[in-house]
Amino acid sequence: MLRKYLVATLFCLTFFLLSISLAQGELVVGLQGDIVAVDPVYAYDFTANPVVCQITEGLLRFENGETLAPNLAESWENPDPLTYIYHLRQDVTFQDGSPMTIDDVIFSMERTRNPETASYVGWMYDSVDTIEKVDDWTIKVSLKQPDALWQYVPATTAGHVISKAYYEAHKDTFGKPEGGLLGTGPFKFMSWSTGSEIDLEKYDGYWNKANGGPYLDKLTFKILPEATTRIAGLQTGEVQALLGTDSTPADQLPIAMKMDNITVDFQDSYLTYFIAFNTQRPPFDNVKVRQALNYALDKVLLTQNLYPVSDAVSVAKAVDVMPRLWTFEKDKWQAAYDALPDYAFDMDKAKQLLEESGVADELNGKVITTDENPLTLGMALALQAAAAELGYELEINKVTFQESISLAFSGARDYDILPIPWGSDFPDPSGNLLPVFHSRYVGDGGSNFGNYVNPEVDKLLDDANSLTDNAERTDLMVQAEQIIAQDSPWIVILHPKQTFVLNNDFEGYTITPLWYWDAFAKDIKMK
Amino acid sequence: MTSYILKRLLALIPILIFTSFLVSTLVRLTPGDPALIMVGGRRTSPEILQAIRHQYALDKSVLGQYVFWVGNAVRGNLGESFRLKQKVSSLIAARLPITMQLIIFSGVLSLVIALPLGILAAVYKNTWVDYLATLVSLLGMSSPVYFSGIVFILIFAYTLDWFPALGAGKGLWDRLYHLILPSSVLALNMAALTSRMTRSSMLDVFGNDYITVAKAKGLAWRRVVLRHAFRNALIPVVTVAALQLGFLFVGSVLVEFTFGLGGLGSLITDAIQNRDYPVVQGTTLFLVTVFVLLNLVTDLLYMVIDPRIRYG
Amino acid sequence: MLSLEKARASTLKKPFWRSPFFRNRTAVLGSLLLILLGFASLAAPWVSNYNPVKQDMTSSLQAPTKTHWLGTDKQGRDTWSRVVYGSRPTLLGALFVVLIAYLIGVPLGLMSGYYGGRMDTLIMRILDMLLAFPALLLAILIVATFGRGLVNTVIALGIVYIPAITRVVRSATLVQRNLNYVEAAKGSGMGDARILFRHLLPNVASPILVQGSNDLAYAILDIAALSFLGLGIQPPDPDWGSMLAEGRSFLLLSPYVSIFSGLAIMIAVIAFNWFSDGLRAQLDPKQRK
Repeated sequence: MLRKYLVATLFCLTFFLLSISLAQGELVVGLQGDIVAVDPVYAYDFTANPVVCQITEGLLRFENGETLAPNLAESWENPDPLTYIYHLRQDVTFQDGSPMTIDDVIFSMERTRNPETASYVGWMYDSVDTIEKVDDWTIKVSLKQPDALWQYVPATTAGHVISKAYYEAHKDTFGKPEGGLLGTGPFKFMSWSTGSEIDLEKYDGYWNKANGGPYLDKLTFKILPEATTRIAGLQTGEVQALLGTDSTPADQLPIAMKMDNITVDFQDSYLTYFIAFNTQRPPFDNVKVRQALNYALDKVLLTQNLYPVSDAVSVAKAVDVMPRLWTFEKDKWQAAYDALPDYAFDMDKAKQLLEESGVADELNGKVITTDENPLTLGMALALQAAAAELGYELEINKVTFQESISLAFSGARDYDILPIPWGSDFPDPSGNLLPVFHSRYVGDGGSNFGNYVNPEVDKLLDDANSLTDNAERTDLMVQAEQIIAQDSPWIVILHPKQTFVLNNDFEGYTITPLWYWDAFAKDIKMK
Repeated sequence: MTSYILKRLLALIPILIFTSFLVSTLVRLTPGDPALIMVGGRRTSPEILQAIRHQYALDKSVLGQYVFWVGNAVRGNLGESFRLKQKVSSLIAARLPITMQLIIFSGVLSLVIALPLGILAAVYKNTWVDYLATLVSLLGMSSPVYFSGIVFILIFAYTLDWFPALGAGKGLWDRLYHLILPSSVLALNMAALTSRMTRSSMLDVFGNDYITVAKAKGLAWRRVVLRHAFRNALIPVVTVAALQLGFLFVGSVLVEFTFGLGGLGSLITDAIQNRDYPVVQGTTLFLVTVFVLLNLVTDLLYMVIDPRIRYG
Repeated sequence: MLSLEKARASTLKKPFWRSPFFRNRTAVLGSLLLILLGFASLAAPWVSNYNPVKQDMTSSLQAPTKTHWLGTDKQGRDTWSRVVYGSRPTLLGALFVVLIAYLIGVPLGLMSGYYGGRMDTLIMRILDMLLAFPALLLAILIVATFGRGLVNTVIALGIVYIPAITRVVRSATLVQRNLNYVEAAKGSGMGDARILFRHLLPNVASPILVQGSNDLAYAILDIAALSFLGLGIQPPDPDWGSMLAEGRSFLLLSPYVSIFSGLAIMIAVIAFNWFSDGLRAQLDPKQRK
């Protein structure tokens, strides 16, 4: 009896082993969570974007995460600060074979912009006044006021084009597993089993085949929330690519780098990890308290501890505008950077500043962090230890990732200290200054985590954003940067690099600081 | 019998009202703004947030939201997920199969492990066989599934490469192959209680006169054990096994997370984390119904196994 | 069948070391382990050799050495000291979970079994509603609502543990309620409260003790599970579940934190199980045949 069972089991096992070889030309990408929708209007995170950006495309695209390049628009011009004109390509087809027309483009932009859509990227249209059809292949976008950041929007998911006809035929299911998505990109949507995987297939009629791919027959995204499982999957070959800093946590890098079937590549990012003080709440409204804690924390040691692989990180200085983000006027930025204080670890100075603050005996507070991100938890623990050295007890309040998000973006600003990351969505230093330090973004949905209100900085940043001359803009932003560094609303800790882990059977993509707007899979092929 | 079943089914109604109200209130008292969580920690504007809150009736009072939800639920509409923007009913339908397969597979595996262990331990009571069987089942029980899952992946997939580390597989055989590791984790955890129960109820039965008689009549020992003792020892085992189904579900929540299986468990925990009220409410409603029905089926099973038991 | 009172009387005649409990090797081993755990947790400051929350980033993720007996974690904290201190919230938490559940569940079970009728139906229906939830999920929901932390975790689990003990006490009471001594007490005009707690309670004590020692084992696992999910204790304080969670990212690099906190959980759970088995052998007349 038992023997019979054994034989049957062995037979089944052999059968299983034979049946698991992967399809040729299929790439399996690991995602750290499920996507919210296959719809560009909701694609604004590190899981939905790598999926959606293979299916739909923007009028423009980012080259190397730095410069704008033509995409669905073959050229564009900016005759005056308030006007942008885009000339569309005439040979683009959607994945069902139908041609892309100007109606699709305007429809898509208006849909994203419409507040009723509740698009996550809808705010990018804040300064847009009208979107008009000039002729069959020309679009004119008029702004209400000059906005230096608008130029980048058409290269993000806010500028992605969907098929109007397809949308109208599938209104109720569009972006969901049943309805899916129809775009012009190199891969077409096949299926989405929520919670487990998303399948895409090569679009043979892709308009831009002359300049490379798509080469892969199939592109599969597997949803794997447990980091150890993603790493184990790399070893077994069940996962062949991981993109971005969230997907391969710093603690797992040493293991991944030891595997001989994969290659790990690092590129500078626009990301910063920092500890924000609530600058409107005592005692952190006192600049000397903030500076004291900044000096008390050994940021170099902490960075080494958080990132066991030193290639994967760069050390930060007082403000979050890192060298990689100096996409123009490099010399001016360099000079300003050199002049910034670095708050190098100095306990004596910290103690002295705390004494000068006059509120030394009132120092207490709660650090909010999530244990789902080992970096913010490590930062919280280190700050707690540093404060203890100064003789004060900081409490750590562990919440879920979602609660921390809710606290960080709520206008109530109901926290004392918050370790959190931020990265510009555009290749422009303004993206790491305006949204995080302008007092306009203190309110609901805003990202001014330091609750930082400084009229002087507000004016400098506003002025910089309404100009189009980059040299003048740089002068203003550099001034703001200096003030902010002195004020120390944040303790700036480190800049993680973008990580791209790829199975050695594949090649063809180098990760960029803005990889989450890229059609990264387009040029990937089997070796 | 029919009236008993009817009575139990009627009792389901107050249970559903109570639990759905409890869940709906609890989940709304939980800190965290679903609208802010929905936009995923990115910059937005107050106007967009307002539009989202209106779209999902979040601008109503807690009670108002509950009444709104019940009104729809009674008509069979469990609402739409905030986060995944899909119908709750279709989400449940999509996620249910993998969880059911996982639970059934681990349930069967755990019986396959537990029954022989329990019988052996009873037959060889107080010998090294007994001690070993007890130790094995205790080790299984005391190693938490969320942890042994990772250890299993690292040993059997990462190091030995015998089984796939993740995912659910496609097609019957591939699915079973993918479920071996996660099911073993659950089964080992569950087998402890069942095997201990089997052991003690076998020992109870061994003490009975009819076993002595059977032995005296010269029946083969193996036959005595399997035919007579085991069948009578089955009732308490069935009780425990049915209770185990509940445990299995909770265990599967944690295991699904580790192995990247998109089942019902990960749907609920994600929903609680993301303050996805309709999904939390819809799935608990569904689960509570399943649990109550399962209890009913267990009670009916007793009657089949032991005709002496009658319910009024 | 022997009545429980007679059973206890007969065991008392023998010297205690010859009682079924002490003749059961695993029960004795389990008790010894429990005494050891209790001692380590009470004497944590003397047993440990480091401050459990003291960070030292220069000695991160070390393997066991002469100074760090079980190695260190990511923040360079001493694992041995954290395991020792971590026993406090875990064991004490489990104790309170059972205490909360029994303070509510035992009286409910007594009343339900003794009064029967409407009271019984009402209590059982309410508990059915609690039972209708998957237990750990209900606990997760309660903790998510009222905030994280050890106290809330313990209260949530306490609530979740109520139905099981209520059922055990109820069925034991059902057997006792029709026995002569209860009838006699009723006949002599004794108040219900006195009958319940003076007479019935001592007679249903055995199943309560057995179930209680068993529940302690499960409470340890459940506290660890909630802590693993990040709902329990707040950093930097250690407990076994959160240590297990923190250590899992380093399983391939430096598995010591996970291994030793996991071992601690296993040992405690097994010890309570063995102890509970011994107790059952001692108190349950059926098993002593």
